[in-house]
Amino acid sequence: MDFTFSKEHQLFRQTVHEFAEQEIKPLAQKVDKDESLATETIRKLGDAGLLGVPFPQKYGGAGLGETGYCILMEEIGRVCTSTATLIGAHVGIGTLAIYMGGTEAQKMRYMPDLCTGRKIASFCLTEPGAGSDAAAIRTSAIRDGHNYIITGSKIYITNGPIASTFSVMAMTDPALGARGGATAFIVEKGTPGLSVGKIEHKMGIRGSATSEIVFDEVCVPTENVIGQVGAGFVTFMQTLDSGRLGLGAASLGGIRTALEYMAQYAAGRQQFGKPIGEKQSIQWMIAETAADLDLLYSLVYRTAWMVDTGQAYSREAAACKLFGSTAASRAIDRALQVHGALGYSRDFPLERMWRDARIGEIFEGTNEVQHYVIAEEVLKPYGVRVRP
Amino acid sequence: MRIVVCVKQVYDPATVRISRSREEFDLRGATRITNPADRYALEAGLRLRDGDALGGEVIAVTVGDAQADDTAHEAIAMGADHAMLVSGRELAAASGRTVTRALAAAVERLAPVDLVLTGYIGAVNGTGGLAGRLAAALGWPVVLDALQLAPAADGLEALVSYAGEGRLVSLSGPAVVSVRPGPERPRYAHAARIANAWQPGLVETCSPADLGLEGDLLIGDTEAGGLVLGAERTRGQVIGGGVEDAAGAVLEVLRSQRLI
Repeated sequence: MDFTFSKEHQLFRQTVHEFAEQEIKPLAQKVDKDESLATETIRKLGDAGLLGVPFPQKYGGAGLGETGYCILMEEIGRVCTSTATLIGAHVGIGTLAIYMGGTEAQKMRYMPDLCTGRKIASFCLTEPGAGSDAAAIRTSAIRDGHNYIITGSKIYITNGPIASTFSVMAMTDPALGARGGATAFIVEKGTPGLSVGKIEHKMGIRGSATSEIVFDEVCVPTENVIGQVGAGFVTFMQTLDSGRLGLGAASLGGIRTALEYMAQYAAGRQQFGKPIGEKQSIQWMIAETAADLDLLYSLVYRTAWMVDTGQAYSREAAACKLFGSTAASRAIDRALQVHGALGYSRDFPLERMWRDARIGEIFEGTNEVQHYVIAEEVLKPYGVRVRP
Repeated sequence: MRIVVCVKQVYDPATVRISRSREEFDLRGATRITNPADRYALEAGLRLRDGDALGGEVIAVTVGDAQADDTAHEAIAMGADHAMLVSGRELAAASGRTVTRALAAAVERLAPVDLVLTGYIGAVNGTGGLAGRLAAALGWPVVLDALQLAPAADGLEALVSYAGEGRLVSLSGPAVVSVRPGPERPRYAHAARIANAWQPGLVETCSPADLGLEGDLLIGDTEAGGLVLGAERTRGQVIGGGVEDAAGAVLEVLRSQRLI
């Protein structure tokens, strides 16, 4: 057993770390306040090859695999969850749906622009009546000769207002249910009938743009079906499996920062004549956070290794998301407590991180849904059927 | 244009500790990086190459132990076309003179070279002597501390800071130029280039003997004599009381230390 990262991954981490410190961290508070990420930042991410990290080079990616992608999400998640969310929605689900379910021709056509950031992707699944219950979607796609006519509305769509390429799930045959009746489509910005609806104002990850996406008889040719008609639900669920791992990696970054802040403050802050780090109450919080960090680190990179070596990883990825998001919320909450009133101040990043971390327990499948995913994998061999 | 950029692997100064009890550097937790100033030199070289209508190539050359290989690959990830590592046990504690000889021999081996770029300072020893020594060894002119390099009608123009003012120096024919951090910050290595930087055939490894360096040529001009430790840092002094009193007390301390 060897836990050493390859030379390539070590240099990649060093490079992304520097990029995050110099290009992302100084803007994190402003991005939150402005509720918007600078287009300049997206351009810089693209120029450094950071918007196609896991994908093969023949599609314009970097070819650094899931391990590379997790390194990226950890290092960006360390400094700005809004930016990590943009990358997660763009790379980890939006583009990934085309990569996982698309034909060779579709990958060659769409992925190079997405991997370089000339275009930004978005993943359109959630609807007013279909959140955790993704199979309940109502958006329809009706065949009309050589085209499909898509009608419906998707909500809470990350990157919605800035995306040019939308991976969309719609029902092509409601009688068959989601498995068999749902199909994934690529819809491009500018297609008549496609519009950005209500912009969401959120508790956290405010720099990440979220909106409703409206489909009013949007006409797309049959070439825009991702893979096969009827395969959409499976493609989207597999995409989410992988996306969860990236979320776990971003949570890992958040915990690292929380621990750094805690340790630094505990060493310097004097009360009752000595540093508060000498108090057992503070040491306990630091020790528990460090233990969470080590656990998540092992889990995230082992799962990334499983993806890169072609093993099944659904259960582990769900565990990364479930454990990672709760551990990140816990770590940042503890760090805030260690900092006292300073932590509660909007002048200090912990207040933003505390709000940002909360979404991790909700999006890309609520933590309640992750329990089902894990339980299903555990109970399958025993013949127990797990359905929400 | 064929450009050689000298890059050196150094210990990250932020990770080097000093053991006072053993009177030596404690390198157990130290990490190695490419000398930050050398990355500016590499950036200048890459810009010249990319702006050269006739094309060209950038070759990174490094002298060091086997681990310095990482610095050669990093230069390739940043954009160098290929790299050369001069490495051997004979160079383990090489002095400035030996390193200069090794680099000059490497430049001659890579002939015809139009330009050699170096960083303006070494992060660890704080000296900036390489460019001058290398120019002397090659018999070429030298420009020190260029902030920017640009192609000109008859060669190159280097912007140097001279007594607080910018001055342009023209160069024709081969030269050695040391590059000072200027407006052109080193680029981030592209993720795909990082993924490809360890492909075989990109880094040529030479021993000193391969470059004709043997015997007397390897004898250095300096040797490490030992570590002289500076005064140990003591804890700061907290001055209490009201603002007026405290300000007076601070002034008193500063005056007594002859700091103002």
